[in-house]
Amino acid sequence: MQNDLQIEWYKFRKQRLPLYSSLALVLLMIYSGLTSSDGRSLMLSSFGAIQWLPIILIAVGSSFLDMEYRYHTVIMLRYKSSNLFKSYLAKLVIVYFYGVGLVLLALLLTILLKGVFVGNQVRWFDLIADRGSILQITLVNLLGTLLYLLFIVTMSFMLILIVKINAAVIGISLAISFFGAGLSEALIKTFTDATTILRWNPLNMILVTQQLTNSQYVQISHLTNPEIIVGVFGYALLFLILGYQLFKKRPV
Amino acid sequence: MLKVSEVNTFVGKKKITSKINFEISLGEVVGLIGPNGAGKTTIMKTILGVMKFTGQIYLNHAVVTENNHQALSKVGALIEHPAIYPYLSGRENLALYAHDQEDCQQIISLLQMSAYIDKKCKGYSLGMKQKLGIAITLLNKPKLVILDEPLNGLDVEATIVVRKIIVKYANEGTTFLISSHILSELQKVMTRIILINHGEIVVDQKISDFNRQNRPQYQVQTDNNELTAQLLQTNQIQFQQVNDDLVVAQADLFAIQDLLYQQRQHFIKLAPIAISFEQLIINELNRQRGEKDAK
Repeated sequence: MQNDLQIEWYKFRKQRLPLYSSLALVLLMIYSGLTSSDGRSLMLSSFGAIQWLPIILIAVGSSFLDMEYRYHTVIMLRYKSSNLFKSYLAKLVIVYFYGVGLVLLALLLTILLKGVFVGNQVRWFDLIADRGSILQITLVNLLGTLLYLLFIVTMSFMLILIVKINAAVIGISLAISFFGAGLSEALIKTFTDATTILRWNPLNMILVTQQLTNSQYVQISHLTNPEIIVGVFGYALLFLILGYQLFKKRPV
Repeated sequence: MLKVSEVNTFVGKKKITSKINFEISLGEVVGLIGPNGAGKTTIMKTILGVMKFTGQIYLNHAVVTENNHQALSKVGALIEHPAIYPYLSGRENLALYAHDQEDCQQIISLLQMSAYIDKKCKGYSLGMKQKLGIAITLLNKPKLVILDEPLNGLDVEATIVVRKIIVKYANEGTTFLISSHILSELQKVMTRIILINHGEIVVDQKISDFNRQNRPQYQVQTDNNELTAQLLQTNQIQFQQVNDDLVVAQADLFAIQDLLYQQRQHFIKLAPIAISFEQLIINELNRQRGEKDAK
C-alpha cells in the first residue's frame, strides 16, 4: 500500500491541476471577501470555501482517475498491480488528503482574510445564539466539510467510471451538490409515510456540513447528528465498493 | 514459459476468441498475425489478465486470472498505445516502473532516447512516445514482452534499433509476443508465427516450417503445355494452370525437367514468382476461408 501511495502521490503532485485548483480556491475566497460585506457569514463559511471545496475536489478527483483512461495508462495500473483494490484506494486517499490540505489552506486563509476584509467588526469569539462562538462554528463547518469531501470524492470516482466523461461528472456532481439537498427535502415531504426509509437517501447526506453547526437542519434531514455521520461514512463505503467493482470490470 | 490453454475471451456476453491454445518457450519471438478485428489485441490483453476469459493461462507455471496478477510481475506490455503520462518527462515515466536506475539508463541508451528523455512527454512525436512505450516494457529484465503494433510511428532508423533490441533481448532469454501489420519487419525477427482469424488460431508454426510449406514457385511454359500438364498429373506433381503458364513449386523443378527430357520437351519459359511474406499470409488466410466455406 505504501508503494501504491508513493506512486499515486508522485503522479498527483507532478500535475498542474492540484496547483491551479489551490490557486482557484485562494482567488474564489478573495472574490467572496471582495463581494460580500457580511463579515459574520464570510467567517462562518470560511469565505465561501465550504461551498467551493467540494466543487474543486469533484473536478480534481474525477480528472485524476479519468487521466489513466485518457493516457492509456490504466492497462499498466490493471496488470502491473498485484492488488488492484490497493491501487484504487491509494488514488482515493491521495485525492482525499489533498482535500484535507485544501481545508487547512482555507482555514489559514480565513484567518488572514478576516484581518483584511472583516477587521475587528466581528470577532472570533463573538457568540451566536444556541450555536457557540464564530470560531467554534467555523471549525465545525470545516470538519463537516471534511466529512462531506469523503462522500464527494468516493462519489466522483464512482461517477467517472459510470459516465466516463469528466465534464459530465463535474456537471452531475454540481447538480447533486446544489440541488440534491432540496430534492431530498421535497421527496421526504411528498412521501411522508416513507420518511423512515427516505431519510437515508444519499442526497440527504449533503446536509451534513450545515447540520453539524445548526441543529435546526435535523427537521429537514430527519436524521440526528450521529445518524447523518454514519450515513456519510456508509455511503462513502458503498461508493468505494461500487467504484472499485466498476474500475475492475471496465474494459481497458 | 507461457501456456495458453482452451482460452475463450468475452466482452460482455460476446465471445471474441475461441479455444485459443499455444505454448511459448523461453527466448522465442512469436509473431501474432491476423487481419483487423481477428482478436490479436484481445489475446494479448487476456494474457495480461484484463479481459474476462475462461480456460487457463500459465506463466512460468504460475496461473494468471482476472484477479491474480502475481505471475505478471516479470511481464512488459505495450498494448495499442504507449502508456505514458504526458506531464512527466520520459525519465520520470520510466522511474514510475523501474526497480533499477542502471537498467533504466541502459534502456535509454539502447533506444537512443538520451537527447530528449528529460523533456516533458507532451512535446514528444508519435515515434518518440512509441520508443518510450517500448522502453517501459523492457524495464526490470522481463521474462515476457508483449508488443502490440510496436512499430507504429517509428522511422526507419528507430525501426532498425527496435529490431536489434528485440533480437538482443531474445538471445538473452526474453520471450516476445509481437503483433504487427508491418509483416516484412516482423518476419525479420520472429521465430514462430501464430496466425489468427475470427478469434481462432489457424496457423501455429515455426517460421522456417511456414516458409518451407509456402515454398517458392515458378511460372513455366514448355513446347507443349498440354502434354506437360498431363505428365505432371500422372506423376502426382502439384501445379496450377494460370493463363498460358503452369505454376509449379521450385522444389519440383528438377523432377519436371527429367520428365520433359524423357518426352523430348523443353522449357521455353522459366520465371520465379516473387511472393512477399504479406502475400503468403493473404494466401494462407484465403486458403483458410476456402476450407471453411467448403465445410
